[in-house]
Amino acid sequence: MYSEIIIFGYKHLGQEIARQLSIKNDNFIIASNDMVDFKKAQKDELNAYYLEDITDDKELIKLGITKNIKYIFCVSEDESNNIFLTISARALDENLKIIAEAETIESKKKFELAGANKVIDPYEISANRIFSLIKKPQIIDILDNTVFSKEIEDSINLAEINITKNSKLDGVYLNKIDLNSFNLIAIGVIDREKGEDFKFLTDGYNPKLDAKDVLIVVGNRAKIEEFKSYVKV
Amino acid sequence: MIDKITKLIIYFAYFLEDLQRYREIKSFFYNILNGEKSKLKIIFDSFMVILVLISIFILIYDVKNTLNPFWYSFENFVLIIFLIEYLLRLWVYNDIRTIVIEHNEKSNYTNEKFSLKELFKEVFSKKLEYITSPLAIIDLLALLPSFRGFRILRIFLLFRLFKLFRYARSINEFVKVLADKKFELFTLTFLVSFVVFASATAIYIFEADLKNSEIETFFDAIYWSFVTISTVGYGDISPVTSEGRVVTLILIISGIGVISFSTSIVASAFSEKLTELKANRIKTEVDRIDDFIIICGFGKVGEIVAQKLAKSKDKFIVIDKDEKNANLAKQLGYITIEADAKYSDILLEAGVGSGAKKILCLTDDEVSNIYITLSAKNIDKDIEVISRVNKKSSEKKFLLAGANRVIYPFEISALVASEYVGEPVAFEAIYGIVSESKYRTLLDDIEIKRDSFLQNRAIKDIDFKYYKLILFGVVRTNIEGYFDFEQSFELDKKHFIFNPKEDFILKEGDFLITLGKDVSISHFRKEIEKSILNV
Repeated sequence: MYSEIIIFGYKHLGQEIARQLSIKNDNFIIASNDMVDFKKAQKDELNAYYLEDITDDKELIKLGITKNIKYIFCVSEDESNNIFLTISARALDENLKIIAEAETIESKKKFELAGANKVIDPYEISANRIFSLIKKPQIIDILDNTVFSKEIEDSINLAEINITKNSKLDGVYLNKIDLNSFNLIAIGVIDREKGEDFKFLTDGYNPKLDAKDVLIVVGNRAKIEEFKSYVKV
Repeated sequence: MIDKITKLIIYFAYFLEDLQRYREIKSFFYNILNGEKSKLKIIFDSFMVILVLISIFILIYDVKNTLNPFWYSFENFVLIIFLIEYLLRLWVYNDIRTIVIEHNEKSNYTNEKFSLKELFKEVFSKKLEYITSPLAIIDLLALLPSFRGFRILRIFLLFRLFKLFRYARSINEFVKVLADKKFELFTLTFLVSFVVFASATAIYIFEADLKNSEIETFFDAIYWSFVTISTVGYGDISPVTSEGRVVTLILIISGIGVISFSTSIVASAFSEKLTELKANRIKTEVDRIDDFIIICGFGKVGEIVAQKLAKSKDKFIVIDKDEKNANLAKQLGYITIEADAKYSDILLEAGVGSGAKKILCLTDDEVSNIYITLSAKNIDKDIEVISRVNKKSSEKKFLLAGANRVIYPFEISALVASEYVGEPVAFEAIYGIVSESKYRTLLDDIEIKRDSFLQNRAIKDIDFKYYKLILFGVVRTNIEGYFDFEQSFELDKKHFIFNPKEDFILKEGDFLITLGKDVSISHFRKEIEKSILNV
């Protein structure tokens, strides 16, 4: 089966990522050098591969790295394995998107040095969530029922609008776009004129959108699709 | 006649029992005098300590000097305060009315005659129980030195010093620690008395009849022997005969033994009790705070949560059974109990059922978490339990056990991670919102308070751009009548209206859900507070 994604490791985070990707109908491969994880993935009827030796680049190439694979999640239990895989994968393919799980701030830096594109700290995220549950439970309710509820139809979602050349948004200032008729809110942008970084639009900044810029909007999923097709024409 | 008095007493007891105000006043005084948790007690105690110290100073000064008349009246004032305190303590020690009521109910039930004699006996014995308690005796004796004229009463000044025991917990603990070593101290006293008596006898026999000896009476011998054994050795009395000097040598050697023995008793008593004393101090600290959060498990998640709570000045205590984790928490200056939170007594000690309003079960072990959840809910069904779940499938079990909320650490992380596939920029936005760290941008709810400038305003009249905020939506509790908002979601008795229309009018009690930098949000909050004050 053709797939663009490898999940290395099938413990807590790996299993959960697999579940989320299944919801989005993305195809993925589970790879693991741990027999227990591998068996578990097989039992869950997933496309699982057992990695004999993660230091062997040939095995990684066999999985599709340098070919069809575009994303790899390094989320196994063993952090040193994750780091090693990050380095190997980065060495093999410069354009591969690598997402890794880090458990501390120090290891976060190590993963960044090893070449990971994104490093996620599940402990920090859940600690934040617990803190928010204490201080502002309402916000958690709203996030759970909107942005995080991929499973609910007709929910509020966060989505990116990629500006393409000659589309309706090319060369237009943000405040000239009628987002309101689609009931959308723009919350962030990558404005390549100003840099490659993502920026929140909270400070009233009014970017001029050009090709290759990205706009982040929040709104009803159907309305977002409507807006996307409106932009294209 | 007696019947009438009996009836009157019973009637009066029921009357007091019904009188809410009376009970309130009594419990108010109880809290001041004995309430372990009461802030008033701390103020009252400090006040009394100051009074005691001033009065002691006055009395000491008075021994050799004449005082300004003002200080005499002040001394009388102190006396009155002490007297009132004594009477109040006697009053709040127990409730006479409940004794009367109990007696009455008992006699009604058994058809026995209500006996005034029995009643008085019980009332009196209860109050006597208080009067004869050591602290009450000290209180009473401390009143005495104020009666001028009786010089001998001045020595009771010391009791006024003892009165300080009442107000200072640490002195109490010191006494308690020594009391625990009663047996050793008793042995020591016995030993010392024996040696002192024996050597006093010996020196008396050898030297009392000699002309050049300083020992005249047996008391002199005892005095000399005590001064020597304690290694103080004034030298005002010293042996003059060889026999006497031999006694001295023996006494000196046993003196070293006595000193080291007594020092070691006290030292070991304290080192043994140190952990207990610390635990006591934690308990006092816990008792003094209210509305706090208990964090069970000081692992990675617990540590970050504690750090955030400390930063936002929320009160919390940490429980962890692992010594390493507990020590780390202590080093960071948090109130920490090193124990297994599974046990109900630990939870009780930590304040479940008294001051704790929320408990976070964040241990690595799911079984422990569910156990803590159950124990906490069992003690206090109103406590809010937030529990960590390691397997999604266990969520139901936790909700059954009574957890109000569960946290599944990997769900949100995985959601954010999987967002990266396909929409990496959206990932950045979501990660920014849920981690709050990199961009310091967060979603927050801002209440529309009565009389603030936001009340009864239309959305279009609020310049969110000026405040550097993005309006996400509004939460409204009561949406009766109209429900034509395009995007509205029900959340647990409330409604979230996403991106409300321009002419949406804000009402008191609504919440604005806004996205903004932390500084912008706190600035906006301040503006709201300011506008309320200006009305």
